[in-house]
Amino acid sequence: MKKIQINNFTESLYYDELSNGLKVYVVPMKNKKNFSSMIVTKYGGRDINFSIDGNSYNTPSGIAHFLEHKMFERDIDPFKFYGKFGTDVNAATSDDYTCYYFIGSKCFKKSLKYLLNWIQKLDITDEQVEKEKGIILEEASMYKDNPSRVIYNKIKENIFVNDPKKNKVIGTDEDIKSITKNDLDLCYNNFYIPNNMYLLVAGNVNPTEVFQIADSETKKFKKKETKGIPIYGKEPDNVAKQYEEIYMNIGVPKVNLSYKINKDSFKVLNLTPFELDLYLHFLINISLGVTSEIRQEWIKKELFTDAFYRISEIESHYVIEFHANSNKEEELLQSLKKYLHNLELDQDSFEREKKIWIANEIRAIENPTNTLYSILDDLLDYNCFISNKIECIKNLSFSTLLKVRDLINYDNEIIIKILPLQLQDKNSK
Amino acid sequence: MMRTIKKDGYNLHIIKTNKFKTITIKLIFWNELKEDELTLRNLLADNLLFSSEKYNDNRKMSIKKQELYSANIYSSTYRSGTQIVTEINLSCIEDKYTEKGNFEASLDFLFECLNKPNINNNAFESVAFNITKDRLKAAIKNEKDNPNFYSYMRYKEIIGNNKVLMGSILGTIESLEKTTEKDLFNYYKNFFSNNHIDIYVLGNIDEDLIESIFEKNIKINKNDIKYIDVTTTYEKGFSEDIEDSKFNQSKLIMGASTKDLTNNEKKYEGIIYNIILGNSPNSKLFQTIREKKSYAYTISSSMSRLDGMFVIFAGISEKNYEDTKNEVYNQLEKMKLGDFTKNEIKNAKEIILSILKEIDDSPNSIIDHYHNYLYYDTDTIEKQKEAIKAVTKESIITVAKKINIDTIYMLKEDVYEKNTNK
Repeated sequence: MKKIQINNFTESLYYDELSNGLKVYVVPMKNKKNFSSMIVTKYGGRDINFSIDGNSYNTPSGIAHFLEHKMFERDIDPFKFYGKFGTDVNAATSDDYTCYYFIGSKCFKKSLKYLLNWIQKLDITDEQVEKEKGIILEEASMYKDNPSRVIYNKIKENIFVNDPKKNKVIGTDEDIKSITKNDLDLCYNNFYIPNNMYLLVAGNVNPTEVFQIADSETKKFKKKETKGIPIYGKEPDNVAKQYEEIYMNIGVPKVNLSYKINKDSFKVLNLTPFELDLYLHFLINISLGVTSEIRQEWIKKELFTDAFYRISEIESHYVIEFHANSNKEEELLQSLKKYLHNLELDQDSFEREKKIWIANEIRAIENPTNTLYSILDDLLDYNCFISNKIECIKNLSFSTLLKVRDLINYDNEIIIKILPLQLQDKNSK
Repeated sequence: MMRTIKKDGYNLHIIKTNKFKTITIKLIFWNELKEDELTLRNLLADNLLFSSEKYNDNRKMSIKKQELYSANIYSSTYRSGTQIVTEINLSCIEDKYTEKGNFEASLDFLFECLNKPNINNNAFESVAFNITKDRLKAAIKNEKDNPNFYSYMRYKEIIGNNKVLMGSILGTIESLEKTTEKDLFNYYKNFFSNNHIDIYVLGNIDEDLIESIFEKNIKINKNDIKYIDVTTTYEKGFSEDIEDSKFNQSKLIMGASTKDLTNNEKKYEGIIYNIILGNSPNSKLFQTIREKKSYAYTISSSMSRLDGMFVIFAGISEKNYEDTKNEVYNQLEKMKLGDFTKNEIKNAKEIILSILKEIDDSPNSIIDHYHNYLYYDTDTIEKQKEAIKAVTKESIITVAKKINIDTIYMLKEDVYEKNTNK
């Protein structure tokens, strides 16, 4: 068990890899009453094509999420088990991972033992698989009424050409209907293996005890060298579809402009992935965030009522997304595109940006659940936990920020608009 | 423990703790909900935090917040029973992790927002005012985009005989269009005098210093405000309505008035009843309508003591409407017949006991708990634990017998929309 202090805080991270390859991370927080624990497999909505021992497989979209639902099928199911202690339990599937977690304040040891045993077995019947389809189709139906969700999925679909991240995590209706027990078994057996998983724990716990339990409860959970290896394909710089309009039952139009940016553009700067992420966030927030001049100008011209940005990534590319609710979406888009080619940055804003990110790091370790996600994000993005983030933030330099700005290439963009249904009637008449 | 100090026109509550790296300040302005005040109230909260005399546009305001290690200052306006509540919140990081003087500078900033708004000639400054007006207008429109919110609002309109339960608390577009910068200034002038005010400060702080800082910065000549009962309920005959929509999924709401429940039943037995019936993954509704029948992904029930209403909510396909409804009636009947186990009761109790225990881990829950204890007739945590433990099967059956569905509403899906691929 290794130990490392988190920033200049009183909290430390204890971590190690068990002999079966399961990586364990623990942050004890003495003054909290509750605790939170999560087991994660690096297998998500994106991992539909993979190879095992040289053979390749294509599975239906939505299968990781379907599997997450079926993991709850057990003699004493997780809701029943954790219900006894009033402990919250749930699971979630993203593009890149599936996680199972509990948050409670009572019977920690039993809770952790159950979590570790829960994910070591999948035992389902054809009938149980069929039964789940109605539930998941209703879940999918609910998401189709959520404009933010629709736009999020459209961005992925239209920006990626080969990468399976273009698929919805929940899958298409047709794919959900086609999923069989055999599909689920195949994915479970090749991705729910200790050397593809993390165990994270934070809160009022004893780290030595956590490692002991993790070790003893996973004795039969064997490492597997021939695990599933996801096939993502080589992603080109161009986008799949440049423009799309969608009509929905909404009042104010929503517009999105996203750029696909090859990470190789920044290679000359020799930055760590974490530093590059920070510089990009700094850059966008300084130039388009709440303190930018241009934003005030757009607000005064009533170009939007609400706007935000987001940066996501795959191994080879960044995706920078600009979102706005706007009644003058064309004018906003034109103005935004023009502005991006000529971003103004100043040193004062840069120094303020550091304070924001330092504050974020402090808030990230304020409760057990936030702490887990903060560790998980690092593991997924950087393959390790970065314990001295505040120091890294303080060391960023303004001149490097300017270089990052100059290296961004805005050639590959997509635009997506969600428009009110009334406009569709008008447009078709 | 909390220390309460009576000041001129407000109560200052100080909770000293070293459990958090942040310091939380919550100002709660509350009074009886009056429909004609909603627009002004929402606009005021937004304007006070949008710009000020010194930071006279939103950019300057935002720069100041960032300089204070991104001091998180925000407002929220919501209904709580018969009351309309406006909160102004400030959360900032303890100086130990930032720099000396950061906390006091954050407090100064808060007082600037409250005491020195962006005023020109006895009116709120026009540019900022118009931007906040646009934002509120968009928020009102956006509410209709959300099928859950919209169906629930329509449901409350059908219940209808009690106006405070109805509608959006954002006010109407019509009243917003009419409101001027001057109206808002006049409203601001009396806002502090016309509201009950409670200020909570929680964190690793110097209590005497906090007291003297607030004493210096907040002084109010209070008007006489009457207290009215914070709880309400309704009474109506049976109705069943179905409304067309342009959404993919149908929303079914079935509900009952809790007018026949005693106050204690609303606080305790009713809560346990609600969890067993529909407010947990182990509940009867979840286990039958979702797990057994596969009719829904979302199915849950909720009990509101303050509003005197009980509601079951499900996202379903229209084709399963009759079956879902019948299954809900079946499960309500089972509750009346006492067809639930000791374990189900015990597990429901554990959920509440766990929530009570975890209050201590979040600054906002601690403050909310004290505020509800002072003004909303909730009991101390210890007393709540005792009362929950004491709930018996018979007392739950008594509650079950008093819950009789009086209103059914479905917002029906659009078949065309359902078949488009989003």
